[in-house]
Amino acid sequence: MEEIHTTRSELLVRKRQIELAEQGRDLLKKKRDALLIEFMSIMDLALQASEKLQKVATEASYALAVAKAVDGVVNLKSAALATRGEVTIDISGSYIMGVPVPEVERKTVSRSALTRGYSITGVSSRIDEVAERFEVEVSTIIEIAAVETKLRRLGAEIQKTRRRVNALDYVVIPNLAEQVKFIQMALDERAREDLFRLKKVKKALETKKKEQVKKIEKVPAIAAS
Amino acid sequence: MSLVYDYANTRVRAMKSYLIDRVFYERLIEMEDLNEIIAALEKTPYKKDIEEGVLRHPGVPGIEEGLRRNIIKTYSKILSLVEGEAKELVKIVLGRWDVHNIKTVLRGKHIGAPTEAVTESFIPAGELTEPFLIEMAKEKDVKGIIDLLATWGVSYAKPLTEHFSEYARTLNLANLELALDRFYYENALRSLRKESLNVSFVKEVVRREIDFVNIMTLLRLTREKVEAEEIEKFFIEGGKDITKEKFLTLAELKSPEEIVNSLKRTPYYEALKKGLEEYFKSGLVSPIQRRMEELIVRKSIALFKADPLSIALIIAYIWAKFNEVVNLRIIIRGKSVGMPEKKIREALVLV
Repeated sequence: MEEIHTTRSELLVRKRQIELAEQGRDLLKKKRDALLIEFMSIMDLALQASEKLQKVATEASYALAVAKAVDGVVNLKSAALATRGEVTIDISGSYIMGVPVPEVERKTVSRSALTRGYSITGVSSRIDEVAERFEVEVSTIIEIAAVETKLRRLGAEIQKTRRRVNALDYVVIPNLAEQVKFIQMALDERAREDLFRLKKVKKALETKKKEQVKKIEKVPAIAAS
Repeated sequence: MSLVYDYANTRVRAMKSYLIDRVFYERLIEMEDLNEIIAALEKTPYKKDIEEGVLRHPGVPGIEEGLRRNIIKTYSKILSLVEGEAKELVKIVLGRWDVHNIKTVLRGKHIGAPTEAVTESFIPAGELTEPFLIEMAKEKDVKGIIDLLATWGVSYAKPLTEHFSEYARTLNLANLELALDRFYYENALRSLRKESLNVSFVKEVVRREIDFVNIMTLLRLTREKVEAEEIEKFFIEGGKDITKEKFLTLAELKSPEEIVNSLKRTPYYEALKKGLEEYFKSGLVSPIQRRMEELIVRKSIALFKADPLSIALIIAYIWAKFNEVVNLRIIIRGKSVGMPEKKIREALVLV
């Protein structure tokens, strides 16, 4: 345990620390509440995006199953060779209540039938529709990735802030208060001891004084006799 | 004429008797699991191919591999049964697989895919044999493939050579593919100039297919609101009912619905109308395509009833076999993903 100096200056330091901790706790509580408001609004977006993703993924899987059945995997694989490409996404950053969050560029990767790399005269519309639906799915994944990353970062920050508030509320401030109480008690005790000692000294001095007075009074009497 | 075809037609007629009938399809649809379907297919000419396919890739991919192997073998057998003019005519019909294979290898080399990824997508059911295609797949790039085709005197080298500089400049493979499709149909029609009953059967099939491609191009691009000038670039000459003028007029229309309504006087209208009803529900043109495919398959298979001593029987069988493989694939895929039986029945083309 930390050694506590039971001095008045230490008491003042501790009281200042309590004041600072309470101030910090109040600020953290405000931050947590603000983050929660932000979190809830983003959560609505995330829920909407997740529902959308579920819907488009089901549609894409169904279209794929139909194309595999009617056109065959061989035709699909062949067309897929022509359409292969890459998606580049720009990611920048911003801050929400001091929390760094990524801003993912909302990119639509949907292409027209004329820009998928193959000639439409030789590829069935079912394969086109598979490509179309999976492109929508990829766009939705990009959208959801941005929202979910934000949500995760904010969630982690809310947890961290809540832990800090709790630590201040239930550990730091009560400990400091205990220490203040302990120092205060020690100082009071010391004050009482001092008072007692002073009284004792005063009494001793008074006794001593009385004895001296008595002695002086005795000397003239001897001299007179 | 009859002597050329009687041997081949007798053999094909025997092969026709092994085609799967409605009762067998119905049994397959009602089966509970894939193993039951595999067991049932082992009593058909697919037995050996499916057994080999399933050994290599268990489950649905194995069955599909078996179906692919079987159709390749069947078409090769047909090619081996015919000679002279008949062989040339069958080659024209099977040429669509050559186009598919050349496109596959071009696509693979365009993106630098490994050779295996390319070879597993081949369907060597046409004139170009599997070893030849594998050799092509080993080439380094698109230029190498075109050079190889030219060296071996394959006619498809011509359109590819003509459009290569454009590809090299833009790196847009779609132009090469369009040139290949166009060349296939133009070349087929050029080879079908002779006036004879056999030629007229094949010509009708090819011209109907051109119409199908042109109509689907119109529907797909109109749905995507592509400008008429752009749509015009995809026109393929030689169709039966869709002339260039008609195509250009249709390209000006604003929606698939308007296009279908403008095709009232063609033999495709009923199929298009049926597909359009589904288009209204889903906004997709694939249901229209399926109805059109059904029409094409039915018309081609109807050739079974044409002159029995002509190429008609062989052409009808080629289409019937193709349709059978598609039907089996629909049942197998449908069953594996738990598609309702009603939906599977709707997707099949039973003739």
